[in-house]
Amino acid sequence: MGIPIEFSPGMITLLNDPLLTYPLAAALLSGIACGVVGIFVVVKRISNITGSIAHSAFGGIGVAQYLGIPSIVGALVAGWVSGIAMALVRRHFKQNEDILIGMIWVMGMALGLLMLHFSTGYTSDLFGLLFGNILLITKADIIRLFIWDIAIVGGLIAFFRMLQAVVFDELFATVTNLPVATINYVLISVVAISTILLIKAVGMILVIALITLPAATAMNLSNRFGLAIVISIGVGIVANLAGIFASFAFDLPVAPIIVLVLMGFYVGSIGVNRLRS
Amino acid sequence: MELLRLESVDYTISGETILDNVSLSIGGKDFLSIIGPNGGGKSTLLQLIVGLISPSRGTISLMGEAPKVGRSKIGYLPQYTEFDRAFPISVEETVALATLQNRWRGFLSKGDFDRAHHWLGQVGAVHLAKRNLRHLSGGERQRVLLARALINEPQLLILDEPTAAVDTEGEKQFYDILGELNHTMAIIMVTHDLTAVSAISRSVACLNKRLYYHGDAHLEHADIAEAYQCPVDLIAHGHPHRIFPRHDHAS
Repeated sequence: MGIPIEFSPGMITLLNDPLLTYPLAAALLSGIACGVVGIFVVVKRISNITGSIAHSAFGGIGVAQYLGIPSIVGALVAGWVSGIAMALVRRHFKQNEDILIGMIWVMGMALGLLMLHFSTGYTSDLFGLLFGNILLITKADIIRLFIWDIAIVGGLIAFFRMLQAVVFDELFATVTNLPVATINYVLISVVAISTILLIKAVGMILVIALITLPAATAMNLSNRFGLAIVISIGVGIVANLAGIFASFAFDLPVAPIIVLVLMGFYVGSIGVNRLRS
Repeated sequence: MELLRLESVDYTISGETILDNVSLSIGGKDFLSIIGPNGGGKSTLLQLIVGLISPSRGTISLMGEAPKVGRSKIGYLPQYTEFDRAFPISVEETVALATLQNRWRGFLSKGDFDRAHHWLGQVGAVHLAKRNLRHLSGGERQRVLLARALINEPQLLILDEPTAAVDTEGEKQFYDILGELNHTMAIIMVTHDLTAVSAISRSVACLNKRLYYHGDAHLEHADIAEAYQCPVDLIAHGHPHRIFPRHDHAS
């Protein structure tokens, strides 16, 4: 199955290269991005915003196809604009947040389907877009993810304590005059861009799982914020590797295996948490 | 020195008056407790003081500046419900993070942690430094958050329902610490705990849209009854403590 985001002959790449190189790189890089971003999504309880961003990307891809511009550009613009819009509403009109999130979610899907209907000369693979396939990831995807990982890990290290202060207690951070609003907008932008870049690996429906479940697992297991991020990254990578392994060994679809392994980790972490307390 | 001044402050939202003509002055070593019924505007008043919202009318000066500037010079202990209680963070981190104020800084130095330990010691919680915040009792947690409020050595400490989730023993310990702190700083405390008010406050105000307040004099029982619009039992401060008789509202 192919993916409309900058479709390139992924299967040929796989056959030419050592078969596993790109998927393994994708497993590692997407695990890092999800692990870092997911912690903030879980702590700030914005997984519904993340889902909405993922679905808005579909509208962006549809419009991009219609206009004949690269799909990734359409997806990034739609995802980022939606994310900022939701962050603005969350900050200033909190009571309307739910409605806007739902609206962007369905509007993204509707616009995407409509635009793809009008697009000519391209047979879109809707299934690939919805569920993704880490085995079909391209060199360009890997490079984008690699650069993005460096950016977010660098940003995390440079501003770690300030980010921790803001996500732990936003009210106190505001009163001590930390740049809470700026940090929140940067965070939502990072979440939006990460979500779009990860759609290629697991698709827009399952990206929510890859962002939230490793982080939720880590939050159950760790008493320290920094360690939680490391655990979150590890869980994402292991689940990705399990999916790839299951695909090669048993010819199973990758994305569902990844999600099932993530669920297993999460349920296990609840058990461990219960036992400890 | 005047630390906080409110002049004729109104706060109205969607046509409903939450605060009506509130004036207040706090300075030196004042210890003002603010009591009042739920929905009386206590939280709104604190939000105005720390610049989270702006008054519809009137002026507020905090540490001689606008609230959004002056707030970084005060110590603030928000309500227990304001942060994620499941967040994985140690006690020493919780306190040390408060040193980041006003600056884009991603690291905490050893000096920041030393200061955190010093203030944890001041509130009798230094032995908890390595513990996780989410594993503390209500009283322990509030003492830790008090250390966080104190780490920048404020002249004014603002507390929002500090003993709401604290047991009796923890409460006594907490109030003893506040009594000590009041030798070096002014304190404003919003509370439901009427008995504590009399034991440790130098003055008390009752808030129900309007602020019933007589400077450093104790609050008249009639004011409290008017503010609550119901009968109130209250122990008055002073030595020896006096207990107001129960008043029948109908009479």
